[in-house]
Amino acid sequence: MDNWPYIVAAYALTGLSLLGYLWYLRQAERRIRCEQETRHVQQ
Amino acid sequence: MFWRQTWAVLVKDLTVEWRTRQAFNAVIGFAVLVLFIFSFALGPQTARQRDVAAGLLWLAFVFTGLLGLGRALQVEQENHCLEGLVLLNRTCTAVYVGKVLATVLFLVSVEVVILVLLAVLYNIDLWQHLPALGLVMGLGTGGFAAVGTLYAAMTVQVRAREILLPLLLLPIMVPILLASVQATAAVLADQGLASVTGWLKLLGVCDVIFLTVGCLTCDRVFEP
Amino acid sequence: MMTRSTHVCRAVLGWSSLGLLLPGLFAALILAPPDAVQGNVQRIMYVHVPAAWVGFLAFFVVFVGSVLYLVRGTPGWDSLAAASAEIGVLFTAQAIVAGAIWGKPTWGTWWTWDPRLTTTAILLLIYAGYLLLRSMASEARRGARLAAVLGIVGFVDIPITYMSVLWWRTLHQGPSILRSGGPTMATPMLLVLLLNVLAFSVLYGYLLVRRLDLQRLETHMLAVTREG
Repeated sequence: MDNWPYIVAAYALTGLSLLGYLWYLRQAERRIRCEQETRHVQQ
Repeated sequence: MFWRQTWAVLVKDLTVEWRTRQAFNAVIGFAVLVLFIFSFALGPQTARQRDVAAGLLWLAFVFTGLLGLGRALQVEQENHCLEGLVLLNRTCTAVYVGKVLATVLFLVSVEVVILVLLAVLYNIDLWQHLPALGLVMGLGTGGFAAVGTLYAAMTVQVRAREILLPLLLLPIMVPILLASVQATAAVLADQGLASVTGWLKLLGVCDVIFLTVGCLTCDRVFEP
Repeated sequence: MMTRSTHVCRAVLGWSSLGLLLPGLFAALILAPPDAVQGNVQRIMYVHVPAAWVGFLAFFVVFVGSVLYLVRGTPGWDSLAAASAEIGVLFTAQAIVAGAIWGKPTWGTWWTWDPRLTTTAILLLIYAGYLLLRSMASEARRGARLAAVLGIVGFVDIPITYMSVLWWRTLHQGPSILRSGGPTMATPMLLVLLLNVLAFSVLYGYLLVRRLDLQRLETHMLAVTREG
């Protein structure tokens, strides 16, 4: 397959950036829920 | 009524500029420096410099304009004048248009100095091209001032304003910059304005659109 | 804290986007025919074009959210604009990177001043400015208001920029537009492209809903913190 490194690079970078963004969303949500939990425990 | 208010703001701005004309001199000094630095960066072959003279000219205009814009709105912010101005007139459109006109006049006077310097440095015959150049400069500077005044009023309210204003304004300036440089290049190459009517129309359209958007949104920008 | 309708929305959009992306990927890499001129490298188009499309779609949503926020004043419209801007930056950056990777083996250069590519790059800069302005504002409400004006001016500027770069380019010779399959695209290619465009659009919707959820959580947390 000609020029396959370019094809792989393009698809991989796109996919990784999407996964990265999803991961960032998940981490942020988790952090907030954790804070909510500690609040409930304190109250 | 609207035009009276606009005139009042225009006169006020020009008076302030006149009273602090050391600042005007400083801006001129900066413009001259910019022109020199670009010339040094481009190398000593005068022929090459003449090819890019139009581009150099507008680069100098843009960077000087950014400086001028930032300063003009800074003064207002420091004395909370903007809020006072807006309270006096119930809508801000007159304030906005007055400021844009004042900025255009200020910038064009600086640009004339840069133009003369360019003509001297690169041995360009200005006199016959003067009306055409004046038109292009007016249209280009008008668009620049229309968005620039709006954006300067925005960035003056937030942190990191010195870097934010160029960052926000320059991408928007691309069409105006392209059109102005092409039109100026055509004039300097003795091709006349008739060859670049497309670019001139683009400039006109840009000016109208940006001024309109500015008028529609200015009261949300000038809010305290 | 999430309502049932949000749950359903997320699930539907999430699974649909996956259900479209996987076949889309398969079609792009396996099913679609290689280009007559460029060979298999042309398959990058199935990522580049949908990403660019979403980039512009997201900015349109930023524009709508900005206008409605300035007119109506409800914070929800501003949240929509902010979320869409964040996601739009992601897809626009993807489009440019993929475009550059496509350009290198095809035209021998990473970058050409192709009107569409150039306009996409300028869109990225406008996005970046929008997000930076929001972060530099001292109060959220001021940031939202000013950013809304940016969203409007920026959106109006995009078509003008495209036209001006197009005219500018027709003046000078240079590498031509990244196109494949000749002046009109072969039908199988077009179908695969449309499938991927649809997949990316649904993915955009899913990410938007997720981001808005996060925004709602953050706002709720801030409100609770102030009370407590």
